Amino acid sequence: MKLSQDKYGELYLKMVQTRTFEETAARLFVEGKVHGTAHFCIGEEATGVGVCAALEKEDMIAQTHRGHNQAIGKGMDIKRMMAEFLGKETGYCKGKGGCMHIADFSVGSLGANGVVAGGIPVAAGAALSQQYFGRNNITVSFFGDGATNEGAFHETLNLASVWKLPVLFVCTNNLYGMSTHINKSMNIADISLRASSYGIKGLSVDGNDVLAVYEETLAAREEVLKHGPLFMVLNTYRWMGHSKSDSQVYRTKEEVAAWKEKCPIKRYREFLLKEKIFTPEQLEGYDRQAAADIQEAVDFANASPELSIERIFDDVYAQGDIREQKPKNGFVL
Amino acid sequence: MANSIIMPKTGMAMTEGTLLEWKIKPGDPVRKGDVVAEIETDKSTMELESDYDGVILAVLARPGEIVPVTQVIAWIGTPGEKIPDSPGPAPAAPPNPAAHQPRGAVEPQDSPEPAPPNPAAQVPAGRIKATPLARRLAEERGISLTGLSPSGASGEIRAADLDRSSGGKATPLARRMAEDRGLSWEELRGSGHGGKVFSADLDQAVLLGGVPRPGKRLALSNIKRTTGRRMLESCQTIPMVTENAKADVTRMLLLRSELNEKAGLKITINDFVLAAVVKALLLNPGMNCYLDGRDLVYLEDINLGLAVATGRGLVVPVLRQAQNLSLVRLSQAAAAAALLGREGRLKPEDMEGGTFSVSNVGIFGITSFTPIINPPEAGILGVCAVEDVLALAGEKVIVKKVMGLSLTFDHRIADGAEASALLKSIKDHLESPVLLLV
Amino acid sequence: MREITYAEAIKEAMCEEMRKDERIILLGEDVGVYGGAFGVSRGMFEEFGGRRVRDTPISELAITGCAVGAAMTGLLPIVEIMFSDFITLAMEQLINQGAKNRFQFGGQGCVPMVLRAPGGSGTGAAEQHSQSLEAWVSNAPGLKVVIPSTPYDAKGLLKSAIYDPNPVVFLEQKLLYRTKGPVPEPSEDYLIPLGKADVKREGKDASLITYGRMVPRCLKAAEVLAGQGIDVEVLDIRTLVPLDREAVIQSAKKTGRVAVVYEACQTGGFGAEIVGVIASSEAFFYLDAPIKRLGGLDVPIPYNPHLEAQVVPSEEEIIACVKSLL
Repeated sequence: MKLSQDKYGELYLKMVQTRTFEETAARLFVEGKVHGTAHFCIGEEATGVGVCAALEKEDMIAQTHRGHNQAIGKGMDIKRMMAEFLGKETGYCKGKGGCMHIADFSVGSLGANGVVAGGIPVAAGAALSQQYFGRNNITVSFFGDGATNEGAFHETLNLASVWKLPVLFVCTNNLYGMSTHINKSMNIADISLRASSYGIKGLSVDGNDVLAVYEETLAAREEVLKHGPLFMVLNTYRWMGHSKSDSQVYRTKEEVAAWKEKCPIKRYREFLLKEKIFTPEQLEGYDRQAAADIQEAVDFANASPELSIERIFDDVYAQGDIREQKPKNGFVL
Repeated sequence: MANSIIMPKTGMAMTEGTLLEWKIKPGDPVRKGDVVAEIETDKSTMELESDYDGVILAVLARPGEIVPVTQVIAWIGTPGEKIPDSPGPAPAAPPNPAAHQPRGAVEPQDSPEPAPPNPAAQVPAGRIKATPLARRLAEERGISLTGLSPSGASGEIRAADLDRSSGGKATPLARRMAEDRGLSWEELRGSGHGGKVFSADLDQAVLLGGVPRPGKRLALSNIKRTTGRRMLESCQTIPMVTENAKADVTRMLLLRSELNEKAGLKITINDFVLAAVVKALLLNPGMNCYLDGRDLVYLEDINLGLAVATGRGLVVPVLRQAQNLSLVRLSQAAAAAALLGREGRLKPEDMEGGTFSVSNVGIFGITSFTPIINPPEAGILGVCAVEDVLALAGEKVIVKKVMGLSLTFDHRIADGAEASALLKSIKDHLESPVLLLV
Repeated sequence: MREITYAEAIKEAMCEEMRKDERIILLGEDVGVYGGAFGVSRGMFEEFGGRRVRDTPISELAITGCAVGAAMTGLLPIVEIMFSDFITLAMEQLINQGAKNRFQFGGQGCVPMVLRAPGGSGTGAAEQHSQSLEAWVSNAPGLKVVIPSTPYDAKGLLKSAIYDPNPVVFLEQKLLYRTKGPVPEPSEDYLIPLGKADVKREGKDASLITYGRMVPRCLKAAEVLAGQGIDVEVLDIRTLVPLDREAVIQSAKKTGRVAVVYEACQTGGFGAEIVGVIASSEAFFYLDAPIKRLGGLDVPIPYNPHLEAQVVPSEEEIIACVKSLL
């Protein structure tokens, strides 16, 4: 499939932005400028970026806690993401949610989730709204390999299948649920087989090939709109530990090094150069733009105030009555 | 709920009494204070009054029957009301509540000990157990909880016990008599059960002169409340030192007499003191200041406070720019301020901005005292009485007029040396009063 | 006024609003042609069809989470959980995804859903179908919690809950489903705001503060006590979250003697919250007796009917409890 220059460039830029965002975030963390934790998707950039590139603006996603690629992919504002990471009032959640809960309803993000598999039923619910109101859109439910061992996964795939909901279940299989390799947590090698239990189609895709991810998602989206849910497994690898406190005693340096060789950005970059889609100078231009974007985000976040405790109750309860409320971008309030 | 009439214990040694005659029969309506029976104790016969309004539900003793004290002899209540069973001695020990009381009546107890069977009898010494309502009402009404009979299940005093104390510890007749005679029965320990006051107790108390007369309770005046608050704040927050000195005012008194006589003036002794303080402060500007947070604010002007007793309390008007006033003008200003103060016409701003005050108690013959600083001022001079003292002038014994001066200062603002210099300067001016005329 | 049952009142509230507002859907196990395990939704499938009255697989977690997602994106879902005990299966979605939603996403959206579930003992349904779990859900900021005690209240409160922009746990009372009470004709629409307690009986000697199934029981006890000259107030708090603290404090101040009556296990129960509100308010200074807590025994609900009846407060115990205050 031949894509437009813009699309090729968008895929590259967003992957690089994701990586730069996370490397910067990791540095801020090491420098003690961040309170809390963060989960990095370095090495997995092609998954979220590839999937989201194939979605329409009105399509929705429910992200995971390791979802900066998904968030940037869907078009979230990097400045507000960084501000949230630093716990600032200008962040997506006013500093109340942190990186595990960044959401941007305005671009169709239902929010990242701190609970493994927690967002899967929610995504099905959003798909129910889309189906009910006849919107010609789908919802993507992102989750990891570990989530497929949760009841929420099985209950929701079943329910979505029965109701033929327009939801695309996307499993980012990075081989580890925290420290536990999938061969210790499930007795099947191909997670996509699980779809068959629910009468839906399962796909297994090379998650480090952003073009494959993009193209498979485009096709899957059409199928989901026509026939209901579909389960897509994107096979990839998590370079970093589970979270910032992970000493990674459960895997070898050789294993990590071998996967680093399969870096999705490096691979895509080589493809772009080989196919002469972009010149090295053009790609360096994207790299510089990504670096500048992230620096701007850090500056924005640093200059932003923190929420004052007087406003802590603001969003515990929504006020008023939604009798006459009309949904905005499909969302309420 | 039905109420009981018991055989009263009317004396320390009384253990039983004889019911002589019922004045009522079951079904009769009675009012509080009505005589319901005549009883005989080992000392006398007496009438037994009802403590309640209601209808006699039952009588439990026959005329002539000897009944232990505190045992129920009749029930009063509303018609048809059920009478509690067993007329056993009251207060009867209730059965152990933990044993078979319904749930909820008793909260589960962590402690293995069962609830005391008769908690009322076991109120520990020290802290008085009372419900929050009873405490609040007692405070509002100025009643002491001590000595009240608790009726609560765990021996706590309840609101009703307060009412009983003011409505039940004297017979209605005794209360009426007390009222008629303007006496207070509340503090009397009567001869009845629980110290209940009978009319006879009142008579006896009058003969012995033992009835305390009620005092009067008045709210603090606004001035006294304010003064009190400020004085308390002053005492609690300012490290105060008081120094005493004596000034020979013989010459000052002569000068005053002469001025008043020959110029037809009304300059008081205090006016001389005010003038001396003004001069002394000009010479000791370190004391002409007030403390504002961490800063000392020194004033160019001498703003002198003048303590004035008004009858409703103390006010301290401030004589502004006193350094510009001659002795005569100062005297007039002080007289005007005192008049305004006594008439209650001072405005709040008339009492602000001072750095130093003068308070004069000399008229009462006081020879020394410890004035309290009027915050945030630096000091206050207490002016005491003028006394005659014998002194030697060469070889002659003469009489000198000596006035006591008590200076209190804020040790944060000044140290002893600075304050002493000021006091000495005041004394010097009083002893050389012509200086006050220039 | 006509009298209808508690169950009918709930159905009327749903039907009347579903006719008016296309966004409202009902989903749950066997809510369709079966009409719900307690028959509450009987006839609704016939009227509204399977698109709006949706039978679900037995997947409480997925149903609840699906309602959260649907509520975020434009629907007004009413979830029926067959027994409130099964909220335990849905807790993750209800609390982590529902209750915290608006807060954790910085106020971007809201979750206007209602989770209806019947609770309480008395039907011989034993340990796993008889609990009163209101305290669990009252400890989750973001949720509102309602427990109606009469058909009138059930209808008016459910209508408010449907249009409340927050997730509302609407705890129905199994034993009240068949009880009747006056409810205005459907033509006379009314709402009862969440967060307003209701004095079900005025009194001056003592207050029984209660909710749900214990309301009628307290009213009966109050009637018996009235015959003995004891004038008892019965305050039905109706909405646990938000709690009408003012009403609780006022009643406590008025009578100075309070018993809090509830069916759930006493320890850590919602009654403790009510006691806490009173004890830490100015009402404390009006108390003339310790506040009594009359909750259920701290045991799971047993099957045997005699045992089952004795582990929750009885009318006699309520009466004795009031007397112990006087």
